[in-house]
Order: sequence, then C-alpha cells, then structure tokens
Amino acid sequence: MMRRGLQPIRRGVSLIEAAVCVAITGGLAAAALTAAGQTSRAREAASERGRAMALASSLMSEIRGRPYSAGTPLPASLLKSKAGQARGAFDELADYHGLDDSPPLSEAGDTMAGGEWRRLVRVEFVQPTKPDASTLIDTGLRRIEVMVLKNDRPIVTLHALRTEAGEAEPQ
Amino acid sequence: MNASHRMGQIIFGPKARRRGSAYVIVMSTVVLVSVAGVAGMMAAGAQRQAVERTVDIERARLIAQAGLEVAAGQMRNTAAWRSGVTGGVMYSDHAFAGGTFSVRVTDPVDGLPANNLTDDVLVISEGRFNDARQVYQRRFRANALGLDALEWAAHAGGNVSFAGCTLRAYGPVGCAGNAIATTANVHAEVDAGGTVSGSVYHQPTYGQTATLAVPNEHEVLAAYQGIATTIDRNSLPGPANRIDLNGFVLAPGVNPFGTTNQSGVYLLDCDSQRVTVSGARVHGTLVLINPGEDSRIEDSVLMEAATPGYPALIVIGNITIAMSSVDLAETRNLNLNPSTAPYRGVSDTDILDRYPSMISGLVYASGTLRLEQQTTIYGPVLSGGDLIIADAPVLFAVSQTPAPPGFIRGNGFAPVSGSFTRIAD
Repeated sequence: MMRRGLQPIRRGVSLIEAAVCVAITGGLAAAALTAAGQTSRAREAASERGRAMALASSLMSEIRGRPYSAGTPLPASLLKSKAGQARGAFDELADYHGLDDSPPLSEAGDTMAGGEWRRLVRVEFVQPTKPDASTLIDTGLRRIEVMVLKNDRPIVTLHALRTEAGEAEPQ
Repeated sequence: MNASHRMGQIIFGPKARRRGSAYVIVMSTVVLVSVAGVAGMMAAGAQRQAVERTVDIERARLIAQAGLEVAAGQMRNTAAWRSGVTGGVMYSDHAFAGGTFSVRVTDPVDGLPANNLTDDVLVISEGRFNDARQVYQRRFRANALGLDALEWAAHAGGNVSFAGCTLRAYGPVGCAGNAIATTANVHAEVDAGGTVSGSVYHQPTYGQTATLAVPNEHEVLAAYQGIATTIDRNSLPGPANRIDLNGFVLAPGVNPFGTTNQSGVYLLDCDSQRVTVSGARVHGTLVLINPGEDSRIEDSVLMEAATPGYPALIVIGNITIAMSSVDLAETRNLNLNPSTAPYRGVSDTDILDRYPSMISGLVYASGTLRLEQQTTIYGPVLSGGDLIIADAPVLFAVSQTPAPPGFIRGNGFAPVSGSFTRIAD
C-alpha cells in the first residue's frame, strides 16, 4: 500500500515542482529580460550622452577659439551669421550664430557622427547681471549655446560666455 | 517518526534526497542570474553616473571660465571697478547655465587691488554645477594703450588760442577746433581739426586734421575718485569762499590736511570756491573738482606724480596755471624734502634746498585750461575744452608709460600670456 502509493510520487520531479519551477523560471526570465533591457538602455543612454558631450565640447572649443570681434548693435535675430558656409570661412564668434550642423562635421570638414546627430548653435548678447537672458543690446558679452540632438531629441546643451576683454582664452 | 524514517532509509533513502532538487537548481540559477543582473545594472548605473559626472565637470569648467570672462568685461568697462570690489569679491554665486560662478580678485603685487590702478590683478573664478566644482584663474595686466593725445605736448577738445605768447613746445600742439594766434610766436607744430589762423607760426601748421579722442571726464574722475584721499575743504585755510593752499608738501607720506594716501592721490572738492595753489611741492596726483572762477596754480610750484603712470594734476572744471620760473625754495617754516617726502630719494632737515618750478606728469582739465607766465610742464597737457596760452610757457611731450588710467583707449586690461591655469584644491 505504502509502496504502491509513494513510488510514483518520489520518482522524478513532481508536477507541482515542475509548475513552480516553470513559474519561477518564467518570472526570472521576465525580470532578467527587463533588467537586461534596462541595462542595455542605460548603457546606450550613457554612451549616447558621452558621445553627445564629445560633440558639444569639440564645437564649443572651436567657437571659443574664434576672435570675439565686437559686432554692430544688431538684434539677436539679425546677428551676422554665416551658417551654411564652410566653417573655415568663420572668422569671428558671431559667425556661428544659427549654425545647424548635421551630420556633425569637424572644422576640417570631416564627418564626426551619423546623420541622426545634429548640433545647433546660438550666439547672443547677454547682460553681465543676467547672463542667462539674451538681449538685443550690444553689451560686449556674448553667450554661446551648443545643443546636441539625436533624432531631434536634445541630449546635451553647453553654455559659455565670451567678451572681447577675455580674448583668446586657452581651451 | 522513527519507523517512517527507518522505512525511508531502507526503502526510499537515495530517492528521498532528490526531493526538492529542482527547487535548489532553479533557486541557484535565480540567485546567479540575479547577481549577474544586479551587477550588470550597477555597472550600467556607474557608467551613467560617470558620464553625468563628466558632463557636470565640463559644465562647471565652462561656468568657471564664464566667470573670468564676465570679470574681464567688468574690468574693461567700469573705470572704478577696483573700488567697487569689496573684500576681493567681484561676484558671489552668480547664476549662469544652471550653475553658479563666484569671482575673487587679488592683487599679486601688494595684495591690495584697490590701492593702485596700474597693479596687475589675479582673477580667480569658481564654477559649480550640481556637485561638480572647477576653479580657474587668470592674471590681467593694466597695459592699456593711451589716448593718441598723450603723445602730444598739448591737445584741446575745443579751440587753441595763442594770445600774445611765446610758446616753445617740444612736441605738437593740437585741437579739435580752430587754432588762432594773436600777436604770438608759436614755436611748435600746430594741428587743428578746424582752421589754423593768425601769426606767427615758426613751425608747420596743419588744418582739417583728424580729430583725436579726448578723455571722458566722468571716466577720469571715476578712475581716481575711488583710490583718492579726500581733503576736507572746510579744514583748509583761506577767507570765506576761497581756498588758499600755500607753502606745503603733499606726498604719499605726508598730508598736512588729513590722512595720507600711499599712492599720493588727493582729491579736493572745491564746490565752486576759488582755489589757489602756490609755493608748494606736490609729490602725487592732485585732483581738483569744480574749482571756482579764476582758480590758479601759481608762482613757484613743483608737482610730480608719485605713482608711475599717474597724472600730476586733474581738474574737473576750469583752471589757470601761471607758474613762475623761479625755483621753489625752502623757507623757515617749510622743509620741502622731509623724511616723509624725500626728493629723488634724498631727504634732510635743513631749509636750504631749492627745486625747479615745474609740473612733471600729465595735466588734464575737463574745461578751459589757461597756461600763463613761465609755466613749464613735462608731460602732455590735455584740455576737454579750450586751451588758452599766454606769456611764455614751455611744454614738453613726454610719453606716458604705462598709460594713465582714465586716459586709455580700448581694453584697459589684457590677459597675461600663460597665466590661465586650473586650480586643483
């Protein structure tokens, strides 16, 4: 009786064990996939941000290396811009205003990243007392904004200030 | 319990140990996968944090350098910026681009940024963004170019009149308006933005010349007001509505009218009272504001700037300089070279010394300036209004190096090459 009743249960894996194991494995698999996805996305985001940072920094360094060359007191919307021209023709800070660089190119014209990447530049006058707010008046102080986007999604934005007085600041 | 245990051992012992083994295997796998997953997520998180940290540091760097830029602009655009800096702090937690910058200014020469307008300054800017902090410094030098007019013997923003004089000028005399000579002997090249008329000119004259920039009286005053020691006019001798300054020595180490000024810059607000300076030695920069009608520097006077690059005399208003060629001599009550004011490094206690009557250094009057008698000036004479020359003055064009603050063009400060450094602290 006992022999006949116990033998099928004790041999191999029970249905309950199998069911529980399948459930646990399934849950684990789901969690693992989720975690792997999140990890992958986090890695990708970090990598993307790092790359965006590199693109932003290189362009910011290039712009800050240009002479300030105090401009005529024009409204920000009318600031002289050479956007669309090869950057080799840019000889002063204000030339970068309105630059839309996609795919990003180096100063020498070499491609730095794919077409999904884009760099936008604004160079505007600001007040020394409120350097975050642009003004139409030539204050002698310009704010440089470099925004890096991927698939039109902003990834990194950098800001810097330049005056004629601080000409040729080392990078 | 014993029976069943025994029974299990005998009959089913080996198989009983396998019960739940699937759980063990699955749970082990769960643990391993979980550990691996958590480790992976932590690694990814650390990588992201590292990237964010890098971004924050870069932003803090740009913000710190923005602080240097704003400070450089402030030094360039505000003549009296030194006196406006309290405790060396130019900006404190100034918001920019989601972070802040704080800027300090120190004087690497003597530690006192406000005491000398020509000292270098070290600008230190701290940028913060989130937890990231970056500090940069840069040295700036007051090596500005002076106004072109500083190279002339004399220059006026209005007209120049040579009125019955015999002028000897070792350097050109010019004006933005017209030059007129009336019964005069002008031994100087004369350039005028308008016309040159009258006689007699003994050197070439040029009309319709390019106009030179004249100093801005507000910038001039702002530059020196902040570092000057003010002389209280109510404590000065003289009858009512007059200030008579006669027989005194004024220098960085001596001020008979109040406290001393180590740069030798003394300011007197005349409040339209007539002021007369005579029989005096001024080793410094005398700033007279709003002197009354017929105010004069007269007789024997020796005026020399104490600080290189500073003017000898600044007048915000009109003044007549009518100095004698007779030497300035010590008298019973006046030792002109006491230990607190040595002359060319020499001091004594006797009253036997004599010194040339002259002005050595830049002379500026924002209004009408009259030069009379045998006035001798080694240095440019600048007038914001008319310049009237009578009698027999002698003028020498002496280059001003460094350019006097308030008389500069363009950027008053320039970054010192190689001084841009990051501070790690």
